[in-house]
Amino acid sequence: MDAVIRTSGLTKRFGKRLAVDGLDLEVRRGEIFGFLGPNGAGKSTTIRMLLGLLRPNGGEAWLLGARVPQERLRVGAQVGALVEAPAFYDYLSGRRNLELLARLSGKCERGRVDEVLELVGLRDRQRDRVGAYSHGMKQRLGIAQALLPKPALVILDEPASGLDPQGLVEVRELMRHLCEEEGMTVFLSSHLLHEVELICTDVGVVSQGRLIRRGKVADLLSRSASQADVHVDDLARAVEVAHGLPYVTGTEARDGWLRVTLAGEMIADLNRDLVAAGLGVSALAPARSTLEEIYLTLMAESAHAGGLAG
Amino acid sequence: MLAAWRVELTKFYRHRSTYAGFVLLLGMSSLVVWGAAKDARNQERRFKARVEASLGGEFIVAGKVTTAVLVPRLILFAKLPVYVFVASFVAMAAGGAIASEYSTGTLRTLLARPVRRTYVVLAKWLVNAGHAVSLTMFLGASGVALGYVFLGGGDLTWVDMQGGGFQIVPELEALRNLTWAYLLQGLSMIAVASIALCVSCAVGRSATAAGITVAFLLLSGMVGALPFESFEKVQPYLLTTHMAAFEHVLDKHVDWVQIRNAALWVGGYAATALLGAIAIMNRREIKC
Repeated sequence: MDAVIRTSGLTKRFGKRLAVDGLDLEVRRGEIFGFLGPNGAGKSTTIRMLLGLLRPNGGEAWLLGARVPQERLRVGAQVGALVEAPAFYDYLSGRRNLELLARLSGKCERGRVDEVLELVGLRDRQRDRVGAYSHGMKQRLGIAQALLPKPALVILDEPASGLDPQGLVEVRELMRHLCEEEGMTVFLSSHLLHEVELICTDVGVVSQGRLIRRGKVADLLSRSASQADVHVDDLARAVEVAHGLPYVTGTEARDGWLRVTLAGEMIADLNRDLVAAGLGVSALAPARSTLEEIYLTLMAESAHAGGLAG
Repeated sequence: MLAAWRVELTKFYRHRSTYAGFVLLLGMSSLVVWGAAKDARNQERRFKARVEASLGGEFIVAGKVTTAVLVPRLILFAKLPVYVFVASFVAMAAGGAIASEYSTGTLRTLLARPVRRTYVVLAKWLVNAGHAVSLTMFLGASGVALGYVFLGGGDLTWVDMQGGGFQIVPELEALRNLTWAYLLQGLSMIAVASIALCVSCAVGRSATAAGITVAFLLLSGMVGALPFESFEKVQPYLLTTHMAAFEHVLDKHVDWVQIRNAALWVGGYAATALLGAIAIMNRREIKC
């Protein structure tokens, strides 16, 4: 599989502050890659360096095999990007904005403006001035302008920001459409972890400018600690029994249920041992960690490691 | 490059504020024409008195002193319309060319596309240079046009304050010289636009870029006007010194060598500022 984005030791400083710290990242063709991290983790700075808006202080980066920023123009027409909040000329219509940007997008097919307006659902409002657009509509227009050159790689910085629930669903479907039907690779940064979990095939988590985890979403979720929610007739006794089991690493009682964290796939063993201890188990369900929980755990670990290093 | 220029042209001339300068300059020309028409009788009386005082004897004014071609000359010699108003409009437009796009974020939208930064600057420079010349020419042309409507045609006549007596330049020759004078002032305004664009590439706010440019002009004008020995040493190199030289195109006998040298100096200022703008832009980090 070939890498569409590759960075090696990518570093960026703003004065004394290290925004990106030796970032090594690889995004492969056909992925919908979620780039996650807290505010100030270096996500937007990385994206700006990939697009040639900022110059790295160290390391190297490649987009579609071309070194950036040196060779960016060579592959620029194959890359579409939305960097942070969408910014347009407010006094021009949405359509006119796209027409102007299409002229600067390399080979942009005739009729492409209509296509992208249709894709993002702005066809009815294309003649309105952008100044009259809502934030969500500007966000859609931002995605539209990124798709103008029919890029091989789309880089979207917070594409779902400001969208209503309907808009979120549409963006989710659009991302899948771009990847599956149009063969594009999508690289997106987002704070909406639930959306990332639903949209992305792969994720990379950055903290303090460093990549702390990278992998397939499905793998991350399956590798996370196994948990089970148990409903028993005697909650206090169940907590006591669970604590005595060697494969139980944690318990948490809430709303009459007991959440048990297991060291591996031991749900059947848990059921057997609870029943053997004389407890009546009325329900037992595996509880999967969400991406949000995994992310928060990673952030806590990163903060702890940072604290120890400090 | 052509695509970038067309984009800039569309953006510039679809912005309503672009026309504010033209409207205000039209108002200024109208004011001068109205003043000239209202005061035509007094103008002739004062002209006669000054000529008689300078040459002695008695003169009869047979023709008209207040003619259409006098209006653009009055505007040019009043200095404020070109050096303050046109220069300010030009500085505001060119000063916002990069800085306002930087602050609103549209610059990152532009530069995230496969376009050379040098082309973006050149395209903006071309548009703003065109704007600078058209504003200057519009000021002169609107003055002449309104002058023909409200004052009528005739030769250009004025009291020669330095040489004494008076000068009469035939109408056609006066129109030709005025066209040259305004074109050369247009070149001055291109230099102003280039400086504003250069500053615009370095700062984050359009008002800052326009302010620095106007401050530079005022400072240059002040140093050029004060008779201090240390200032006199730098006066031959000041932009405003050479801008002022263009007024001599309206003299009865024009020193074209002096005009050419002034044009070269002003052109040099414009070229240096443009190269500076390109250099700064290519090094600039787009953080906003």
